[in-house]
Amino acid sequence: MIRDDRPKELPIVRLLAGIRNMGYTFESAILDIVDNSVTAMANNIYILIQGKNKVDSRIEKVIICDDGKGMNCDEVFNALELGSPESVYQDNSLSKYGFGLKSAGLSQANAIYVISKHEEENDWNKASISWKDIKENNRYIVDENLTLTEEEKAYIQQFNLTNGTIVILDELIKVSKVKKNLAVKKITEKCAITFHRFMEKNNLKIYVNSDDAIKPYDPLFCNEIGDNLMTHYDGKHVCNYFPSSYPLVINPKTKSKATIKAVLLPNPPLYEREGLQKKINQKYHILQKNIGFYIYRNDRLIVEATTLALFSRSEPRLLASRISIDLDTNCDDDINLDVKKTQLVFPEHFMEQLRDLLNPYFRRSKDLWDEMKIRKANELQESPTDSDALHSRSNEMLKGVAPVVCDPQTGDVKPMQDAVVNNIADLKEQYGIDDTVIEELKRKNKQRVVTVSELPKGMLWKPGIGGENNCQVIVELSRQHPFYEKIYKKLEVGSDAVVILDAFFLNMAMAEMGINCDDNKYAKIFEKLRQSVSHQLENFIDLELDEDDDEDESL
Amino acid sequence: MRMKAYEAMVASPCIANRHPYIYILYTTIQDNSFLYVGETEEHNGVIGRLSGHLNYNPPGTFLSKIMEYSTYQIEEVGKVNVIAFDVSEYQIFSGDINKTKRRALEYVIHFEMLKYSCADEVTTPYTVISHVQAQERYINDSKIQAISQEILQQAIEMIPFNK
Repeated sequence: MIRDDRPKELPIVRLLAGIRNMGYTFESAILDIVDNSVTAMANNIYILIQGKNKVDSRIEKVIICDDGKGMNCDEVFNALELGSPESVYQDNSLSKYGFGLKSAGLSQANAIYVISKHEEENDWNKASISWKDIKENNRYIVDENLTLTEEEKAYIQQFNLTNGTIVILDELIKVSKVKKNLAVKKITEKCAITFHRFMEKNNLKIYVNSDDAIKPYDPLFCNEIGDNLMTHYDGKHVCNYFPSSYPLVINPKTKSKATIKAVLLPNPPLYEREGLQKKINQKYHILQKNIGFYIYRNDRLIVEATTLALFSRSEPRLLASRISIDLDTNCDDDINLDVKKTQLVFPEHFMEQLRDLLNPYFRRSKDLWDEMKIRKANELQESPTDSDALHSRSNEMLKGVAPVVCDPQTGDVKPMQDAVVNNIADLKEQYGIDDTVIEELKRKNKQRVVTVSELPKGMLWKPGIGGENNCQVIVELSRQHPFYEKIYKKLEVGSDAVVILDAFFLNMAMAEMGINCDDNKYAKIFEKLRQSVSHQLENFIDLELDEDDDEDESL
Repeated sequence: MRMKAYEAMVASPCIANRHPYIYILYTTIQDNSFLYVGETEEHNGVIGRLSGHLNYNPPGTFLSKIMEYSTYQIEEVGKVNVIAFDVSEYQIFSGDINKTKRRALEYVIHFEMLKYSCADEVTTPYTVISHVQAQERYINDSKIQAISQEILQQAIEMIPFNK
């Protein structure tokens, strides 16, 4: 029942106090206002962050001028009216609730002035809202038809505005403690990333306390991708994971969808030898805090480098991994986006599909990081990977072992190393070992147990030639095989378990090589044996361990 | 009171053969449709796997996924359809050792069906409720990609959601 004796008037001052404390930061507030200029199709946006004077670095006023299509008298009023009508907003804008300018402006300032001239009109219109007036009158007041000050006229002249809008945030409050230079830097960086698509495609120019337009920053470096795909990643070029962006449905009923693009940036450690690692790190902003998802709505970046709880930021092998999610206005009803448009929550089923879709990408990114580490190690002749450290004790203990043949009847044991040496050329050919591989193995300090990124046909192990004088049987283990990933890697470095497993696989390799060096009729059988066991182990690990391995699964 | 009676039909007894399959299960409850993509090489073919999906207690995967993605109860699930694609002729999917390849194919079909749910020609919205995991090296395998396109084309012709 609705009671007539209850108050009908909204407690406007308390309501506004809540709205102006929604959690805007200085940057998010300014960016929200700049977004209105972008929506108004401005080609140039000038942001002036002004201090009291040259000595006092505290900010007093922020002025945002644009040469967009501008507003007439009613539109200026609507812009300052609380909860502006939905009809005045365009589909491609960032606006959603009609609170943006007021909530963003009042979160930082006690007074907001809007001065605008529509492209089809002759006069400039000015209106304002003041927190002081609202409090004193206990009602929301938009003061209209104001006269432009000399200072405001000067902005129009300075930026040569024939139409457009000037928003002035005056009597700044919370930001008074922010230093001007720091604020300029932050706003510059935020504008560069938030509106980079408009700067790149629509030639939008944004100036922050400078005559030079800021440079766009695309965190995925899409203009460098071309046709590069991750299947051919070389560590030096930006690559796409999907051949074309993947549309992932959010709500099948409304057919709203998010467009997913995943890229892998260059691998900075690869540039160490040329002394360019730092430069590459800087160019691509390779930092832990920058890993992750970049979420765009109507081409504006609204959330930067979030993990969406799909991976751990502390995983160093994902440093070059970045994913964009593009949303449009159709998605608004299916996602939970806050007034500031900086926080959003996706439906649970969407998150599950996203996790399934990207798990292989995250796994591959980690593998490629390892592969690049090996390539670098090979170039620098250094100890390659953490995996090699894992096997160091085994390599010390197993360095002298050689294949033998044992007669089961008599128990006689005969060495077979000579047979291996005598047939080394045939064995190399049979196992596809070329001189490049031998060179790589040489760099690995005569190890008998060697890890490689991946082996053909999904195998876990493969015999090879290397070790002392490059004529010993060695065993190569695939780091990409789930058995290596989920069993080996979890063992303690140099532990007995590692040594036993290493000895086992080295023995398998020696047995295979030992038999095949005399007669290769069993070569196919041994290959089938390795393939079968590798696949069985892969299935076993996938099926048995995946369920219990949530952390790994999420990567 | 009449005895409970159910009717089931298979298009071909071959569906009970032990072959590697990619299958699609779908059902509609009121105005909500659900679609599940899976792979199997069960002893009793897709029919055998289907019984696992439709278990009541504890609920099979298909039923529990429907409950997970909606507020429906098991009792509300009615007619369940299955489309099965026998991939034995390609050889690369047969046997336990090739489960990873079947999973890769399942992954690709799953995400193709998900993508298709947004297509303009889809008149009855459906939710894809399967969960997939696969290895990157097989997902991007050109042969698996080509086979998945063949399956997808047939699947689109057979599902009722675009009619």
